Amino acid sequence: MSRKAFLDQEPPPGYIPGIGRGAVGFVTSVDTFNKGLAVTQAEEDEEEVYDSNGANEEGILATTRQDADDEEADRIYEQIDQRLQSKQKQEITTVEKDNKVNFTDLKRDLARVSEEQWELLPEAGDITRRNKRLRILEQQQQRTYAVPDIIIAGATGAKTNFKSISESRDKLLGSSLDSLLPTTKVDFELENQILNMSGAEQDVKIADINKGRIILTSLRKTEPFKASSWISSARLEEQANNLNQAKSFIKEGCRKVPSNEDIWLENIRLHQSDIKSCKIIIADALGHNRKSEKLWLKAVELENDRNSQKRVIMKALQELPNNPTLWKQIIELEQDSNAVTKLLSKAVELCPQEWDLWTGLVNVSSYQDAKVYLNKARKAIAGDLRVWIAACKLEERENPDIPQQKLVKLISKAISESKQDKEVWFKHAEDSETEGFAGTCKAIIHGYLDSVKHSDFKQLLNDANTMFNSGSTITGNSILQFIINVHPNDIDCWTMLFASVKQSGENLDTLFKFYDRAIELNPKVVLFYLMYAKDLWKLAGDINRARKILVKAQTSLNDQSINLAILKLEMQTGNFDKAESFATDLIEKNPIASDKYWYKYIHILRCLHRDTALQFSNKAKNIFPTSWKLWIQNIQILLYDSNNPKVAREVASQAVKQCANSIPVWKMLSLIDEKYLNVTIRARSDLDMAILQNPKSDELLVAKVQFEIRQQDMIAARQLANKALKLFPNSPSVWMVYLSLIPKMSHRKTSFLDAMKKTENSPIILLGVGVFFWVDGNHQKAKAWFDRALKADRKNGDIWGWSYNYLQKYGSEDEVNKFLSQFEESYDDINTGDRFCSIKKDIKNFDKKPAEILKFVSLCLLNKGVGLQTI
Amino acid sequence: MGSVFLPHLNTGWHVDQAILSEDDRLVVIRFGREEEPDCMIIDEILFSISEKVKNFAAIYLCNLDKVPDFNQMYELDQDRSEPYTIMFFFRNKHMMCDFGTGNNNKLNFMIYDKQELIDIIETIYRGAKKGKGLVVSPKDYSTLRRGG
Repeated sequence: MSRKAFLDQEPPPGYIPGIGRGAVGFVTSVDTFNKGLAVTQAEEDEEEVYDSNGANEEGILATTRQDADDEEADRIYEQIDQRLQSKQKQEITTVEKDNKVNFTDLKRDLARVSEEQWELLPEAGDITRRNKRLRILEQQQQRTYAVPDIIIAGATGAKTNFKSISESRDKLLGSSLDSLLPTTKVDFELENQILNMSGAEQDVKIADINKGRIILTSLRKTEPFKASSWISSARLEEQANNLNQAKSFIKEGCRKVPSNEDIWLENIRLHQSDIKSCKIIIADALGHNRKSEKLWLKAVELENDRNSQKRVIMKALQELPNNPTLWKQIIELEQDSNAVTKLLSKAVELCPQEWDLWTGLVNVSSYQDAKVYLNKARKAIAGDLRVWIAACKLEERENPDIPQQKLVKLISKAISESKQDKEVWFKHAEDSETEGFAGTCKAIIHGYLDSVKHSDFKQLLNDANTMFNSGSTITGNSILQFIINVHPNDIDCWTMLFASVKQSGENLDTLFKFYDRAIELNPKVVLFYLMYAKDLWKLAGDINRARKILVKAQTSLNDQSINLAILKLEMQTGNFDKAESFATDLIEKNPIASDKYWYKYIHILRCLHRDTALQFSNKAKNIFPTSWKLWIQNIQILLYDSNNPKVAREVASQAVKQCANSIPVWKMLSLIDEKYLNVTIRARSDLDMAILQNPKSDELLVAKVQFEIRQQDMIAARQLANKALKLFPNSPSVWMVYLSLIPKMSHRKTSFLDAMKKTENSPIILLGVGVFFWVDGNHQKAKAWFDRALKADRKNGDIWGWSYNYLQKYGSEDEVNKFLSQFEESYDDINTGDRFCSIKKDIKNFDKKPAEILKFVSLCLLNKGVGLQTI
Repeated sequence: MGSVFLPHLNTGWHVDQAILSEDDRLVVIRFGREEEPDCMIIDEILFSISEKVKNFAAIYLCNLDKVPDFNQMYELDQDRSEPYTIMFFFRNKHMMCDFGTGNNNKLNFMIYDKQELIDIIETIYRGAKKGKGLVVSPKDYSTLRRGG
């Protein structure tokens, strides 16, 4: 907007603002009196003030004089006013008359103009461009764009970084503006940007290549002795396929900044295709920069035969005698071993800090020389552990039967000289192992761990594990060996060690060796024998050795668990006779040692269908009157083996007196009454008695509810279940029986959530939900729940059974086989699940394989599970 | 502080000349004191819109301490609660605008929205071009006044 001229002028003297342009004031609604002309008003105000003052000062006389004057003045003014008014009126009336006469016809026509026509009267010129603006706005809003494929593709995977593009463009533009300003500041950012742009940014760059040219031109002008601007100019032109221009730029740059090696390298790169001119350039460059390593290396690269390369390096070494890279290269090029030795010895003289050169020298020289060299190296590079490790390796190579202590000594010297992290040492140990220096490897591990007094064996175990995983067996073993040396009697440490060895997938011999060692160091620890025997049996399948270990343990320790382990081993491997004789032995030797022996013994007798079972059982229960297991066994013999429910009932009633707190005994009693003698009233009262004596048992309440269900008394069952749930809100079995009593699936579903919340996702509930889905016909969903349950609890045989059911129906053969092998693997640990336990302990199934038992369990679950009452 | 670039009117004569100098544009004059914060705010707003409205309006600033000549005529500087006064002229005619505040003679309340101010100026300009002496503001500021 141009500046108006008046703004810079002086006002004329005596000018009265406002009046000069004929302005008048206005009336606001706030104060309604007429102000008239601004100036006049002001004068009147002054007068009034004066008046009042005068009146106060001069009294009544003055007032009268004033009044006379005033009256006259007023009269005159009035006359003037009247005259003026009459004149104005006349004028107005004449004008009005004229207008009326002139436009009467037109004004009549106006009556016919409709409201719309008034609205449509055109605006005076679109000077604010409002209409156009609105039009453009409308057009913009209506415009649509096709989304490019790249954005759709980018939405799924790698994203196009629009932000960075726009940012870099902004930066580029911003800096181009800066460079247009007459400043000498060199914009490094811009340069770097142009040099380092890649990928998507490249597109932007190409688009802006012209801009880049302008910027670089100004850069070259402002700082002609800066190599980077020349290099980037050349690169820009090269990118724009303007090779000649690029070459001329770089040539000029070389002339301007001959001492910069980068610009020469760039020059050579641009002339890559023409070796001859490259050589000329490099000669020129070296003439200017005699000490530049990069240029010398480039010169070597440009030569193509070995001899001339050597010649160039020689020249280079004359200039740069202390450069290790050059030395290394020339040694690499040299083939004659004598010359290599010579070169190496010279090189270490000139570059004593370079370890690679020392190793090279040590490796090519004889034992004695090598020793000398290593000593020298140690002096030259004090504190470098590689020297010591190399010395170790050397010793080991020259004397394969060198005592380990000597190597450890060497390493501990190294450790005292240089403090390094554990990882570094382990890495060196691994390297030595891969190079075949087992002694050195062991020495490093022992030396290091000794020095730090590492006590956190868990960490070390982890380290050993990773070593085993990466294939460094000796290193791993050495670490474990060290752990054993430090903690020879720590049982936890040993068990963890075994676990980690097992996990690491090392061969079993290592594991067994560790077991041997553990037992040797801790001959009194029963656990080791048991674990050893189990692993021998299960992992190696070596039953004889396992037996031997156990027998050895038994003779030395005579521990109960070892005896039981022997029994179990014999039973499970099918040697029933041996088991029997062993058990007989145990009992005869010491009949009051443990009820478990008796129990096992009688179990074996039952399995083998000996008639003596009952006799021994009676004997056992007399010796141990409070052992409920023996009681139950006795009852079972009477019930199942000799079919004598009446006697069984008597024994049971005795049993509950002896073991009033044993729930299974109570349940047994009630079951005999209900099933075998058909006296339901007594059965119920049995349960009530039991509950009275054991009010804390949810199991008994569940049994009661199930009993009522069996008696078809659903109402009582539901009531009982509700009561039980109130007493034991967190018991999974109570929840299960409660859920099974909800008649409709849709109603049950809401309760599942409560059940899982209350029982904290108990596996039993998870399984139960699965079973409900199974019954509902939704087998896929059921499978998901079975899986969840199995994941939560691998020890429950019922869950295994249900999963097996599903697989049998829907799984492929491979899946079934895989499942079975998994099952057999964890068979020993499975010890819960009502149905599973009852089938496993059934003497009819004593010689069955795990897979067969699983089949029984699954079948039984299918038959009974549909009713759900038995869960 | 772009408002320093707006032309300042230093005497009553300059004010009159500014009003008389335009034939086809609205003359917008802000009377007030630049040292007061409210006045500063409106100055910045006026400066920021000056380029947009330059086709149909010319904006001037006038300091009441330097130019007290119009205090009487235009009732300026009478009310302490008034942050500033903006007045509109077209061809030496004082343009009135019904803001709903009760005072149609001037704009004497805070306004923070640039577009609102542009709209007001444009509305007054349109009215002026049609020969009107009083226009109705595009927005009713009565509630604003009472609230503030």
